Amino acid sequence: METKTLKQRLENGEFAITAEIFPPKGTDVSGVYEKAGLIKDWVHAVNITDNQRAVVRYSSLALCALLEKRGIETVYQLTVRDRNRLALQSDLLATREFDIKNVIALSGDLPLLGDHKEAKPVYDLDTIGLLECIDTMNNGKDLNGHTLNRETDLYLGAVCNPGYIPMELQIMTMEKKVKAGAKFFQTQAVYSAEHYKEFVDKTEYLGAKILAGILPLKSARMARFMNKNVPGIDVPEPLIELMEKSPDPIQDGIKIAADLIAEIKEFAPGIHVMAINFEEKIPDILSAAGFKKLPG
Amino acid sequence: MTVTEKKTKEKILNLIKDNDNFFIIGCGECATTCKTGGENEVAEMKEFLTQNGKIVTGGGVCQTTCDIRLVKKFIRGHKEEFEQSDALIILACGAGLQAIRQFSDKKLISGTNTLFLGTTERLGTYSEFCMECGTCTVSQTFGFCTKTRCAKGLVNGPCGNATKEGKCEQGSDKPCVWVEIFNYLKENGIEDQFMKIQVNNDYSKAHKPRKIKDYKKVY
Repeated sequence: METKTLKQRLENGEFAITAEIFPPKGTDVSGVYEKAGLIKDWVHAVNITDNQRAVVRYSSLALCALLEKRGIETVYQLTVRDRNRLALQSDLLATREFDIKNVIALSGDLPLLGDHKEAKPVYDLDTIGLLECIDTMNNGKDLNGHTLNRETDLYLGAVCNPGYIPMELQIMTMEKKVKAGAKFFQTQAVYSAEHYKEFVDKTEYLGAKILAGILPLKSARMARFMNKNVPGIDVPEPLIELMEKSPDPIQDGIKIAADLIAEIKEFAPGIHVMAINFEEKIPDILSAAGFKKLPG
Repeated sequence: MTVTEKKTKEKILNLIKDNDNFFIIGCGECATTCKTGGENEVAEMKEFLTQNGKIVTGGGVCQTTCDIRLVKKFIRGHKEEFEQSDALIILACGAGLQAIRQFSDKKLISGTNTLFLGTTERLGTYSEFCMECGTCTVSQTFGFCTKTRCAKGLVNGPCGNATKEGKCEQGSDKPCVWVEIFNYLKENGIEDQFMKIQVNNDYSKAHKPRKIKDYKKVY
């Protein structure tokens, strides 16, 4: 990975690429090391999800710390679903010593959608509350204004959904997130560069760096499933048909993602690749989109 | 109103298995409206117990089961049948059941599950609009309590997971309250006011168990 941090790249106006890795269900992190190893020379930072889909997994904080130790810059995903404000702040205080530089604040999927449906959802703070909290901690105070012996040093991010309806509501919420301290966003998966361009134009006034979510398709079935079940995802019908007729859907999924990235990189400050259990294809996708292996 | 539902047959059978003589107490307030603890439900429970080989020593509907004073009066009025029982079946909310505990050491069996503070749409259809958090911020969110009506209790929502029909990801029958707020603002031509919503979550008055002792003069 490069010596420049994600923050430096984005703030300097240089194109940034992040990718997402899920922590394991279990104590063995070797699979994550392997995946991170495959993509580390292609992306600028790696997101580690926080019990995504409300399924119990290895700690996001711990995994970020382990990857940072191996020289891989991470984006620490933190949801407000599982921790109250005491636990959130306590975990955030640990980030500096572990050299974790980026954090993404999320609300988190509801426990009812996960593998521990009986869990008590926390949501003590909401995403905007968490962003304000981290911003305060970056300035040397805890949420209630008590002095910290050393401040956190975190580049603050949030998420957004370019396919959200009504769009004005999503943009106003993003504006609130920016006011609460968010400097960058990673989006829900997008499939149309044209639609995404409209979203970029509408959100330009926010001054935030928005990384377009790229989720490579593996099959027509996957596309249909997401269209039906994932709010904001809208895979255009011609792409689904193409996948359906394809003799090699994996290869075509890679090509579709690469073409989309090639278009988006012309007007967006970066992309965020969510190649669910498909991380080994990230170098192929990025290479097909015209990127080269990172120097160093 | 406190909304209750009946416990399942299997649950009740399991709860009553160790006792023989039962006294049933319903409630004339919310449980009567919810049809979980009125005269009919007390009679229905009596029949159910009898069918299952139990003896019902008596029973009835207490005017207000969550009022300790009225519970006392009710029990006094049914002294004999009450004393003959070795367990009580309560068809009221949890607040009512525990008021009864103040007067009796008998085994208490709840025949209901207490669900939430409900707003009545029509008889039998109730919605939870208020979670009794103790720090009301509903006027800041235009008369929609997002702590209660947003599945995540977001006070500065929405999240990004509402469906395009404006439903919560939790279930297709649940509207996203944040979309409802936005639609309300839009219909009234004041959507710019959405940006003014800024609520802090304060749960310091929600710490259980809560009790108040006096009426306060404020104005």
